Amino acid sequence: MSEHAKRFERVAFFDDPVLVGARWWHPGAEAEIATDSRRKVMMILGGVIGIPVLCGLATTCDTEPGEADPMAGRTIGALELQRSQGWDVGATGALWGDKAGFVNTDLFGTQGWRARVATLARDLVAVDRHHAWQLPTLLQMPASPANASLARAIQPLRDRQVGQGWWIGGGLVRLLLLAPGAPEDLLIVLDLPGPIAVGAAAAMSRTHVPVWILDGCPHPRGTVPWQRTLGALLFFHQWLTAPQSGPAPAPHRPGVVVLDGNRLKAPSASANEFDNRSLARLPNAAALTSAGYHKVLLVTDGGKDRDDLNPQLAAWASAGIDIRLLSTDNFIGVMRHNGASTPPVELQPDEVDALFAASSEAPFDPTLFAPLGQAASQEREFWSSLAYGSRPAEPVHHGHVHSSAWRFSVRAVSVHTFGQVRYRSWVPWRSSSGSRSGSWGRSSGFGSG
Amino acid sequence: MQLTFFHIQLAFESPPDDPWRRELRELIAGLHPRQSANDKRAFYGRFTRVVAGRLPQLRRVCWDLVRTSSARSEFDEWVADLEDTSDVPGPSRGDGEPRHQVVTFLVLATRGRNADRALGDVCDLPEEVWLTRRTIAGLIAVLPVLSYTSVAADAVYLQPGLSSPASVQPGMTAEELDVGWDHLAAVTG
Repeated sequence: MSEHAKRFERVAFFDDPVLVGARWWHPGAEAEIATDSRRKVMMILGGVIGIPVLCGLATTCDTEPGEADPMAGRTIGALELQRSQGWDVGATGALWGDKAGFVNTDLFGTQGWRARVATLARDLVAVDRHHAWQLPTLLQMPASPANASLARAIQPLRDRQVGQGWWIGGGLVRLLLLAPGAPEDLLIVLDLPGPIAVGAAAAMSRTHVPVWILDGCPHPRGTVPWQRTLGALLFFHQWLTAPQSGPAPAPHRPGVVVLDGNRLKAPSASANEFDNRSLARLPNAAALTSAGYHKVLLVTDGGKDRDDLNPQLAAWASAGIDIRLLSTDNFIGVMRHNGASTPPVELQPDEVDALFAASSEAPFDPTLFAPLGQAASQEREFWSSLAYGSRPAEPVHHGHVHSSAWRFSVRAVSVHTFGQVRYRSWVPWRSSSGSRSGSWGRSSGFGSG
Repeated sequence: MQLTFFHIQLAFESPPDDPWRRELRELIAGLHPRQSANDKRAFYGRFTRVVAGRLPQLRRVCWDLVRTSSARSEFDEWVADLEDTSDVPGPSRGDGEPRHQVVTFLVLATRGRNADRALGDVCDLPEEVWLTRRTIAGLIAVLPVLSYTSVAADAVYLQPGLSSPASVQPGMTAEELDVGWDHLAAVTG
């Protein structure tokens, strides 16, 4: 198709007291039509358009260059759309509704994070053996010129989930450090809601290298609240970039893969949402073994792996990787802080404050995060005590998750400006009726008013 | 090739001297006769933003997505009806009654391509919300983000028009809408 054929030609124009209007015809669409169908279209449109069509066809023979259509001939993904048109595409000027937990200061009570919003990826992505695994889309987004408003709007997040994550991470470090039998060739995968995963990774960052696999972007009406994950990253930025002191030099530290467990969050049935879900992409088994990993501990909520991880974990297992699962459902409730009391499953705001205040004033001490109800022997045997029962089965495709995740791109184009439209990207359009109507037939008197 | 026809027609309460009408008219009249796909999106972005600003004054509406073999003929019929102004009566009197401006969008898209699928998604709605302002806002908001590469034809109309400040048309009364636009249904929320 020539460039000029991509242009729409105005074939009718009205500007009088009765009617203002314009109608356009697109020769470019014609190129996609088989010859016989093309003739039909021209006949049909010509029946309405008449002479203006002929004029339009004549003008298409001119050599005026057309503009390339970035959407031409391909399916544009939601993330690609956000990259090209801005994070808030379709809802420019809007912000996410849930602002709970966003604060002006980071873990250390400073506002140094403000200067780091645009350098998150550069600051936090480690250049080591895990570098190729990283997928820090979320960290990169605020640096884009198209996302200046996101960079201005985002703030650190300090809420209960961040506190829970901090607690879980501290507990994991304690378990791993205190357990003599803890394997050295162990890769930890945190598949938890974003703020929890980031909090846990931050707590583990003195002994492990965070590997960010966060392939998403906030949207004012996004299904996935990536902004909360981003806010958590800002909250811990200074902590994560502080000079590292730990039992092992940074290049030799094992990795902790950070996923946002909200990435497949089910869209609301009633709200208008932008489908910014994404799939986790893990390295293959060969990459794992070449990096020295032969065991994987999946830390997740709910007691089972998420749909998109399942086939990847199954492939790992088939390649001989020993995979075990640790659910935080049982973990959070048995943590304690300073050995003083049993905390509730959900931290109260003052407990979050106390938790982070203590952490920012003193060196991080994982022994503060002792699991209650477990004897020391159990701690030491923690790896071997984990059940094998959670080994991933053969890939299970639940259909809706996989199909929606791969196909969401086109549909995202259709929803991103209207928070009102019910949006179910995995449900095929119901074509049986052929028509979805808000009208009940058009009267013959139409246009005669 | 199969086609999909989408139309939406909106009747807004609008006083005869409403500058909003002129703003809409100037957006249409100011367009270059040739438009790229990007031009299209930009135009509909501006136009639908202005239209959406008046949704609180939206009184009646109809919309439809036709994915049958009649899509082409229905587009043809709508165009013919809209552009045939030979039987339009002159401005009515109806002094003091609320007046209405009708805005119409038509899109003829290639079935199965991006624009069609996007339209299909936004139109896939439960019946109870078909006529709410929130739904209408969503429907017109899809226009700026369609992939116009797969759009065969489109059109936008304002009724009445206004060619000069001296010839401002007052717009239709509710009674006139009942007669000439009885396919329009009252918004439900």
